[in-house]
Amino acid sequence: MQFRRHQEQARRGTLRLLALFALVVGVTVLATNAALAAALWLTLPFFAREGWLPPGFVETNTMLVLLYVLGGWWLESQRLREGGPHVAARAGARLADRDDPAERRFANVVAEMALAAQRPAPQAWVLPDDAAINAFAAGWSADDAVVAVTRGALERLDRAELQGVVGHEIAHLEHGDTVLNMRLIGMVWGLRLLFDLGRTAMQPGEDGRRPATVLLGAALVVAGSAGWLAGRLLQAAVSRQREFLADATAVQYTRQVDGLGGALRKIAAQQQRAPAPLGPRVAALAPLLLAADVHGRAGWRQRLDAWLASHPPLAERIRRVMGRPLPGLDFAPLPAPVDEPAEPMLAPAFAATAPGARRQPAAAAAAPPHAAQFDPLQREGHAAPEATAAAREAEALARIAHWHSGGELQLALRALLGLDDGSASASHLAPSSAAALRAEVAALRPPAAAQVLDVLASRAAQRPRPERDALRAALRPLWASADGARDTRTLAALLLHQRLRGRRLRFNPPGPRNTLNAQAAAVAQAGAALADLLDADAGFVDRLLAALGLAAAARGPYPTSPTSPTSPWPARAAPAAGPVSMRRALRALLRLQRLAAMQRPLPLRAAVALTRGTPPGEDAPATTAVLFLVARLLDAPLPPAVVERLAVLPPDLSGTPAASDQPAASSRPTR
Amino acid sequence: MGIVIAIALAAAGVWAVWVYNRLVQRRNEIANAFAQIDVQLKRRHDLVPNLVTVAQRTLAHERDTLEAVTRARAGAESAADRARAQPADAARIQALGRAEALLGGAIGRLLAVVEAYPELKADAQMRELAEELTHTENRVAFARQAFNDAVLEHNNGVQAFPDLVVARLAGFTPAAPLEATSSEAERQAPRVAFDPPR
Repeated sequence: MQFRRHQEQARRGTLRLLALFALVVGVTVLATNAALAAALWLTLPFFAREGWLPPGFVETNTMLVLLYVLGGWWLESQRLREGGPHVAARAGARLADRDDPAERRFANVVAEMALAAQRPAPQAWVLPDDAAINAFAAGWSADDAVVAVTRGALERLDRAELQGVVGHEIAHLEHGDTVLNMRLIGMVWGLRLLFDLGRTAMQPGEDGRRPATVLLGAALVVAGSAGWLAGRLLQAAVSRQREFLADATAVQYTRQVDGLGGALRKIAAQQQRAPAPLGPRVAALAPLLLAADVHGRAGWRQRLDAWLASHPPLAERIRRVMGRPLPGLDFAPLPAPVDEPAEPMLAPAFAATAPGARRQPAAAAAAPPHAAQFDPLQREGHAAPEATAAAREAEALARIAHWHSGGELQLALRALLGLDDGSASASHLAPSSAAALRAEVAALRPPAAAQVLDVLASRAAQRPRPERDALRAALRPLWASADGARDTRTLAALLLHQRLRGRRLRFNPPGPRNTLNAQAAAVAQAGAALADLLDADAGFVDRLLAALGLAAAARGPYPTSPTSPTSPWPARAAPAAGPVSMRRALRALLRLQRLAAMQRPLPLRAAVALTRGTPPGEDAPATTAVLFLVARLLDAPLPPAVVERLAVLPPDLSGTPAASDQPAASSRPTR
Repeated sequence: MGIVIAIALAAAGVWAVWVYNRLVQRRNEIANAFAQIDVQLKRRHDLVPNLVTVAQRTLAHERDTLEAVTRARAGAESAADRARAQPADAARIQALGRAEALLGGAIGRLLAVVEAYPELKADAQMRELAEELTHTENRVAFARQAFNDAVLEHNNGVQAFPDLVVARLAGFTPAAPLEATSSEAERQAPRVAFDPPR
């Protein structure tokens, strides 16, 4: 593609169209004057006037039209001044998280393309919920410029294509296309206001009769509608020319056509085969997007859409970039692990690096002996050295630290909760990878399994909405069987469910309903469930209530009357003693989550203090896991006695924020 | 008549000042772009010791590859220091270009060797480092490209006709773009062949 020639073409086209736009505004002024003059002549008899037109007629009309048009331009400029991050946050985007490999790669690509464009780097934002490949750029000046990309683009485009897309968006910033488009839209809106004014003037009044201004209104409608239509057509044409300009500039920055060309071809394939419409907040930014959201209409509407489209047809863009028409490019279905190096990189030093297979069993079989311990494929070939359970768990944790992609999270969470039915269909992973994944999960002992579930739940909460919904649907069989006793899986499932819903515990100040006294019944029920899970003796609940100072209720497993006269809970009869239904225990935990923040950790601390007397036996790992899950559900700090029995996580796995923390970089809107 | 001549001279003077300012701007952009390359090269130099340390843990008998990387880095650093001392010397710039190309080739060969060791590839530090290296190589490449673009703009300004006059009078000369390599042998993609480790 001869990008300089295409750029010159696009620039000349833009200038021509802008000149036409100015002409349209001028013609609208003239037409308004003419129409209003005609209305005047038809209304007032000739002899009642002095001269052809009243003094100042033309000037007033001209000023009014220009006021409307330029007022629209000024209003849009004011709105744009609010800055790129505001526009991006309104569309539902968040800052890219450098801990996720795909987003880190994207942030690096933004820095690279900013270098190529010789501009300060814009902020890199991500639209986490959209599977369609798309991108937009927003911002008034270099300080608040933002380039945002959808999650679908992050996962389906390789590095060269990402460079093309980011180059296209930075080209928009460089040429001020965002500003130009918004201003033109503002002016068109001003022209439309003129039309609307005319229509309002023509509307019948409350008594159904036409008003006296009907001729005036008709004049304005005629002049305004022509101006509005012409304005819209021209604004769309300018937008299309700027898209061509941005395409050519992206090719200039990357000095290759396969990047942007490949991305456009993938978008074309996606729109044909599996159209994924964008969320409404993103679709509202239609003129700023990389490619238009396609909604095909047939017949003459299609031709009208073509005239009014803000983006040129994809096929034409591909033809200009690649030099010849090309079909869409199929891409791997979700979710391919994105932290594998994809295509060869741009830099010439790596031009000869073979994009080799990830695992080379033939070469690796001859690898030095210490390598064989780590790679699961090699382990199958070699006789594994006798490794203890702790060593296997440590290896599993080291590998689990890298599980960021959707497929791995889906399979891992199902396996951890025992919902794995042996088919890999839910996760789209290859069977060998799925088997390896299940082996890692099986190598975890209970405390580590609970910790890993906590970490993977936080990662899954960042995934796009369809994956989160699939996981929540998979949890339903657990709720149905929650009546069974001693099922710690339901605790873990509750934690996962709340994380996926983005539920965060609030800092509640103490009130009449959320003190320990008021929720003594919930404490007792949760304590009874805990006693059952931990195999504590019969007096555990009484001791727990006594330790918490709820002595007045320490009369049996369940309090039979409220402890304070203002408690809203009615008196209820003590149910028969026996194994506690998990459903009841979960409900009690949900009530405890609403306790005042300063009092939430107290029941757990008391429970741990009471169980510390018992020597750690074979069940100690399960005990630790249960206490860990309860601590996470209540967002309480872990008592030291529990912490020292937890597994040690590798650095990539630890440091995950608890349910009430929020990473500083992300600003997800609540849903 | 005198007034017409005076106005014409004044207009010519204003135009000359405007062209001169534009030429100065473009020359400064070239200097800035060159400094940018320097920054990216330094970044690449600083990443290499990390790469060697992480790789050394596992690639015990790829010593010659590791040593080649270390040597290339030392050579590139010294060439960069010499070029920074006298940026106008074309020979030093060319030597810098050759040294950087050697370093890039050595890093590429090391990363190709890493492909054969799955557990090193899976190592989190190694992966982050590989991404950072790729990113840095791209930054070097784009900085060089930006430099060449700036040189193009400058040369267009200095060699096009009316501005040519002002440029000659003010002493602006065309600048030389960076070539990736000056030898034909290096232009061919390096063929990487490594024996499976014994």
